[in-house]
Amino acid sequence: MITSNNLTKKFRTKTAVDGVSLTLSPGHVYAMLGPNGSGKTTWMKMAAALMKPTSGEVLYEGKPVGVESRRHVAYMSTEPYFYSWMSVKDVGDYYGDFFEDFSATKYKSLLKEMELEGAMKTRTLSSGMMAKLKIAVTMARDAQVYMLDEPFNGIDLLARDEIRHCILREASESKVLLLSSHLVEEMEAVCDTAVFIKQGKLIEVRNLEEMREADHVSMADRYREIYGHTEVSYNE
Amino acid sequence: MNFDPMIPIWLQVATRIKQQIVTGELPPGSKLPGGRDLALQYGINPNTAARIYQELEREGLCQTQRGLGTFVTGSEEAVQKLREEMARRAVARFLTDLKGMGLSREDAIQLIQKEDEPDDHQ
Amino acid sequence: MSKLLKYEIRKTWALKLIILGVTAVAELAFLITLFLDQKNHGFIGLSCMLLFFIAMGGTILIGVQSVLTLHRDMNTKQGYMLYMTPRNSFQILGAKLLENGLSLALAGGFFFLLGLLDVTLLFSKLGTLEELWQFFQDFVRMINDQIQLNARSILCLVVEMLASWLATVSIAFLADIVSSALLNGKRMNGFLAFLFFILLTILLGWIQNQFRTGMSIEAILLVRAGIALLYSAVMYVVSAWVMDRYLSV
Repeated sequence: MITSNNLTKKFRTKTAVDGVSLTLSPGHVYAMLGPNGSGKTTWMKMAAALMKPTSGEVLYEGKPVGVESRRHVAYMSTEPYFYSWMSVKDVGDYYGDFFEDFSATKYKSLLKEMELEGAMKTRTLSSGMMAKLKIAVTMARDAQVYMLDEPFNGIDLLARDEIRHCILREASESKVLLLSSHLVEEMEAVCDTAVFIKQGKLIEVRNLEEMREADHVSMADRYREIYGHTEVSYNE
Repeated sequence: MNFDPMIPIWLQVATRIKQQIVTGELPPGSKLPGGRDLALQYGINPNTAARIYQELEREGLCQTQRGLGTFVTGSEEAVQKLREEMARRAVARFLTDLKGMGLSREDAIQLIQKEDEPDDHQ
Repeated sequence: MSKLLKYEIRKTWALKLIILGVTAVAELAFLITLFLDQKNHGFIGLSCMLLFFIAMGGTILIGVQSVLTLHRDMNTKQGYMLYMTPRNSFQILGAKLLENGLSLALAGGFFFLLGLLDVTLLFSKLGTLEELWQFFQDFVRMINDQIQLNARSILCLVVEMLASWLATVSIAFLADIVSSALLNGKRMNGFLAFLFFILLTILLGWIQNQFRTGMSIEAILLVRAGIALLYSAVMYVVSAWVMDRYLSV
């Protein structure tokens, strides 16, 4: 459904994504793993057609990503990006104005679950509430592809179940979900496939249950093997 | 439910469901949640959830009826067989543990008898 | 594009409310000095000056704010709001330019009418001033009999100034887009973009100055305004094209 061919992005001093060829197929929840600066965010931004590749391409349903693919690809960035004047309700109205697959009803019920009020100003939200708001407004879309960059960041232990729930509810045979997180443990049960990226290069794509069955190895174990012992972090 | 990430998730949930069948928490013929609901209930991937029912069906512990959903087997015989199988495995595990501590079969029987007396317990 | 336009208006209305508020205060001061304190011509003159500078400054600020908003939309996370939507660069930039054009026209129209009203009031209250104005007009006509200092020619001047300012804003758009999309991270980015802006502004002036003779002053002004609008359109197309192909947010 989403394919990157030899995708490369160079910045002035470093190559953030280095010749990554990767296909994400419907019916899967992918975990994109790697330490900070390994190129996960850059790959996602190119797949979301926010960033132009230096070389290579990203295809959605066989066509280069762009204005058209944005109708069906929902991207959630790590950083908050809403206009400072917006209230929680304004954010929903904005998505409703631009995305045909956005459901205001779904948004409302998600806000309730997340204990957010429409009248709250985004400017004054705590980082945890902002993280929930980003999830709520993104998952209120009925997109074909969801790319969530660090969805568990800033969210306390108790609320992570809600987030997981909210993400899993959208998983289906026809959709692609891609989550990046350095909280590897949060994603063990949610994801079925792990994409390991190191220094901009694709290391491997593994089915997690197969890996557990065949090698008796968890995603976190594999993560440690690939990146060394220092970089895995559990629950902050 | 907390998972051991080194053991296949489907196996852990399937084992849990088997326990529920054996204890009667899930009586014979009762309806199981749909694959999506199972995934949400346990916070697991939907593909993993599908795999769980596949395995339980393969073992004859549940049946999927088209359009109606998945049900625990109605056969008391199958449940009884599962019970025996699980008990046998629990005993085997128990014995292996004790053996590791240098205790014999007879020591084990004694221990069980002792543990069984309710007054000794608390 | 109406949705995009709606949010562009929403992004800029605070400044417009401020300008409107300041104008209201200055206008009130003018009216009070005019009706209550006619002896003190100094104050009337001062409030007239003030209104004039608010009109000029306000119009300039509207354009500057538009450029700053575009800059933020390309260089901060806020830009995701625009570029994650299924809208292309021509629509995104079109909404911005349209919003600015409409705002400038509205501000220009508003200030022109307000000025007309105030001048009429001023003449009716202070007859001597109107005579002075007549002298001034005769003097100008003596130098160049084509120039007529009336409301119509002043309106033409206002239109020319607004159109030229819109063109300047659209040049600034292009320079900023080139800077954000093509020169990003390069050395002397800011300087090069500024140079580019200056060169394109000079080019506009040069083209406008090719039409100086054989026409009434009003016609010349309108031709200059037309050229500015055409120039803005060209800047828009080039800007959107560059943005579409090269901008990463």
